[in-house]
Amino acid sequence: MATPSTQATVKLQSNDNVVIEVERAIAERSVLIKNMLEDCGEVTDAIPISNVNESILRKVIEWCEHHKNDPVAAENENDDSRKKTTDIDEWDQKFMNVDQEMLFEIILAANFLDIKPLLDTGCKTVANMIKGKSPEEIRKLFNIQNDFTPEEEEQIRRENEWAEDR
Amino acid sequence: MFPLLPPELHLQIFSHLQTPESLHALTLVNHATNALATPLLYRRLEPQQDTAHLLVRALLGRPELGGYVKEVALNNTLLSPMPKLTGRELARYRPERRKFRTIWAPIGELPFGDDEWDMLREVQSRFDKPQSETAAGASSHKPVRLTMPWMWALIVRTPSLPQDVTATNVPIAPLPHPRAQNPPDRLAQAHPRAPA
Repeated sequence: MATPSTQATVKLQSNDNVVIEVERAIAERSVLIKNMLEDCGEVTDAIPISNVNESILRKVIEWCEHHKNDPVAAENENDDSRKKTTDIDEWDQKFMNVDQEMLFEIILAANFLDIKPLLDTGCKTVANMIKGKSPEEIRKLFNIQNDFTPEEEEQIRRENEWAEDR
Repeated sequence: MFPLLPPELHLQIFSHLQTPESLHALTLVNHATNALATPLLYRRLEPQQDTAHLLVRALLGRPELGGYVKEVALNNTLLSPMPKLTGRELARYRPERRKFRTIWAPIGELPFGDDEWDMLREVQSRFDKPQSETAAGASSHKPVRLTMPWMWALIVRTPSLPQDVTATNVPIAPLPHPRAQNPPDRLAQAHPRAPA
């Protein structure tokens, strides 16, 4: 392991000005925070997390706590080789069992804080909601307006007919 | 689609969807999801016996779709026996690549329109040349004769496939628009169209 960390905890400040103290190791699940701490050394002030409110920040910290001992994934940014599946472990499934708005907020926060496995889990969760649904069901689920003309819709349907569920 | 999320995150979500059915549904939700899901839908093609003609029709009808294709898998679906490979040819091909050399089984009457047939004839005329003409460039391997028009159409419409997948020295240039001047007789005979 690296030399013992000088700092056991860090303070994070949500955009609604709530300061939360967390173990440094947990906060460092966020690559953004990890890099910041490495660059700045000792940070005694609260780190402002400007894009994330308290409830989402607590939720994200809860995830980081549960996953603090996970091995850090290999830095393989090659999307082609990274296996895309929609399998999610049980704890994560429960964790992600929140309303849509919160789910999207978690995804945004994970993206902003650069917590790749959490981002992946969030994206998979949404993907699983889409799986097996018809276009109309997807529109209803996410409250999306159909902006196709009937002609456009028919043309797309014909073009992609080969992929239709049958 | 989800107003809260930027498009790159939409893309990340959609890229977890592997089945054509799910991506197909997304192409029909609205313009925004269509723009993101269409390239993903065509990224990896696994033609099935009963729908291959529809896939080829799509690739013929809108050439840019072929540009999205990164992988084509012909696993257990459209198989008939592989052509015999020489030792050198075998060494040259990685196993997953050899799948491309599968000859697609004839699938009876193809329900194409006139334009689509013309396009297929044009494609065939490019490939169906005597070996002496096409082997000029490289002496170490023989051009492979691809016997089904589907395959040609798929390859011609798929510029991003690795070079050796085409396994032939026939130059593949973008096709002009579908009017074939001299459709080869053989194809016309192989797939006679019922009189209108």
